[in-house]
Amino acid sequence: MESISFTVFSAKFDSPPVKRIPIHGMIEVTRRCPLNCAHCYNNLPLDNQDALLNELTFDEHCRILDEISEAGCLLLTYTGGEIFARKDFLEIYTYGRRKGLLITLFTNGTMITREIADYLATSRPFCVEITVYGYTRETHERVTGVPGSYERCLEGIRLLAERKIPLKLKTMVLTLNEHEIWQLKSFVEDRLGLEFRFDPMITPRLDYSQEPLIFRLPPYKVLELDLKDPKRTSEWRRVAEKFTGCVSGPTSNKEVYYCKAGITGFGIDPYGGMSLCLFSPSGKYDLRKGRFSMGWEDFLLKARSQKISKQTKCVHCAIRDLCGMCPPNSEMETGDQEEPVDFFCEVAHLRAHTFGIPVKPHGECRYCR
Amino acid sequence: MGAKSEKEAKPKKPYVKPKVVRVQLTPEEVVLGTCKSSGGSGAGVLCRLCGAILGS
Amino acid sequence: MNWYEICYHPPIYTGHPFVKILTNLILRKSENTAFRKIGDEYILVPVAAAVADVESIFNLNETGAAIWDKIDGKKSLKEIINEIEEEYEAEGQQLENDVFEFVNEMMEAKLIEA
Repeated sequence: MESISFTVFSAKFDSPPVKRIPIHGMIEVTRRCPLNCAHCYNNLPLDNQDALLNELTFDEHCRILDEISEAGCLLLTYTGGEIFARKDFLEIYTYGRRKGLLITLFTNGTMITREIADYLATSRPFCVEITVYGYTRETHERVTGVPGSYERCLEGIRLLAERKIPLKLKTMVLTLNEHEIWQLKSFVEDRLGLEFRFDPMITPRLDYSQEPLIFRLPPYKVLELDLKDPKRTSEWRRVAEKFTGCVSGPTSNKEVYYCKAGITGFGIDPYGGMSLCLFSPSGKYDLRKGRFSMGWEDFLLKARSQKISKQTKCVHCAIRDLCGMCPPNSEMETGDQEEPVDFFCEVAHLRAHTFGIPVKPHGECRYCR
Repeated sequence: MGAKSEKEAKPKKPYVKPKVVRVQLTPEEVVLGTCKSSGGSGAGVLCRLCGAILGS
Repeated sequence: MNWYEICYHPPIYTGHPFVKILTNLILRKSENTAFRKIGDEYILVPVAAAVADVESIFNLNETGAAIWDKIDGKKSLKEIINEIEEEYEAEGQQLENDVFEFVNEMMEAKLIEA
């Protein structure tokens, strides 16, 4: 039998003409979490009864899984909060597996038991991604705010790794743990033999609290990370090669969104609110009141087709893909989904300058000077 | 007889040899991926926040 | 050779004495497999460890998906071949060989059972 890689297979869905099919979904099963990470954008206490009572029930989850499968979802990521904070999570997961969904699990690892690991070994997820915040217990727990969380996280990693469940580790890079990033990377890649990635782009909370930004690295330190990691440097050079000489600017793109949210991606929060993206703090379709197909075909299509209402420096910026700017983050950080975010703008310009991507004038932008 | 004429009248589809291809489920490495972007869903520059993928 | 061995030793020549046995086979789908249609793609997703290989999914073309659709635990392989012949511009002998080869691969992957 002929065999192809998943990359080749999934490219079929990205080849033009790209059809609008909800292939990639992210579902937050809860925002409750046993940890209290300094940078987190959405966590609630584990025993928050209001949140618990308002979360989608098991039956509601099953109905949604039926509907998203029917609509064409193939890749589904479960995230939180902490997914295993839901006592019925494995039942929800099992239902999703039986629908033929390829499921990725995001978890902090601290609630993974032997029983959970044994179960996942028999009903394998596409991937499990565990976030670990430090090389040392001290640093990890400085981020999570919970004593004992480091050992529990490592135990969760061990339980899954010894059962050969597809596993990746990752971290957010904060002022609290940046000094241990390279040790952590080496530990994961060399000692554990697992893939590792890191992300320094901290966002505000979904309730618009700017507190997480206290721990965000300054832009020049984000560049230092890019330059110190050979893989990242190589990837950015590859991106730069793709963009060099093709600086046409997005003047023809008058939509607010320019990613594939709403084209092939969607998000569902713990309470049944569907949006283009899990990070959209506002603008949701209530799946408790309507079917997924209606939300996808009508509500999200309208949201995705929304046109810009004003000319900002981002509209004519050709290096927008280097900054990671997007409407939900603009909304969380500035209150306006079209407003530029200074931090991201500075990072993008530093990257462009570092990797040799020419930046055409695109309005009043102090980082161009 | 009516049913037989219906079958005969219905145009046949072009035939392609039946084929099944194995797709290896190896989540690809996502170097520039963010914490919240899923690492297993194809090529392209990733949206920094959600699992959606920026068009190339 | 018995029919079981023949299944795993293609090519199968029409006229072989065991072809008659093969075409009378009743096939059924593995219970541990979910069929998905995503856009224009037909996919089989193993959903439990019982299936030979849970580290893969399987991508069928349209004809393969049509055969899969017709497998219901009641129709013989011959009946399925006849239905495909009616719906597609396919020649009898070549079609039989193609279907046997396809069924063989599907059985090896434990996606269908006899």
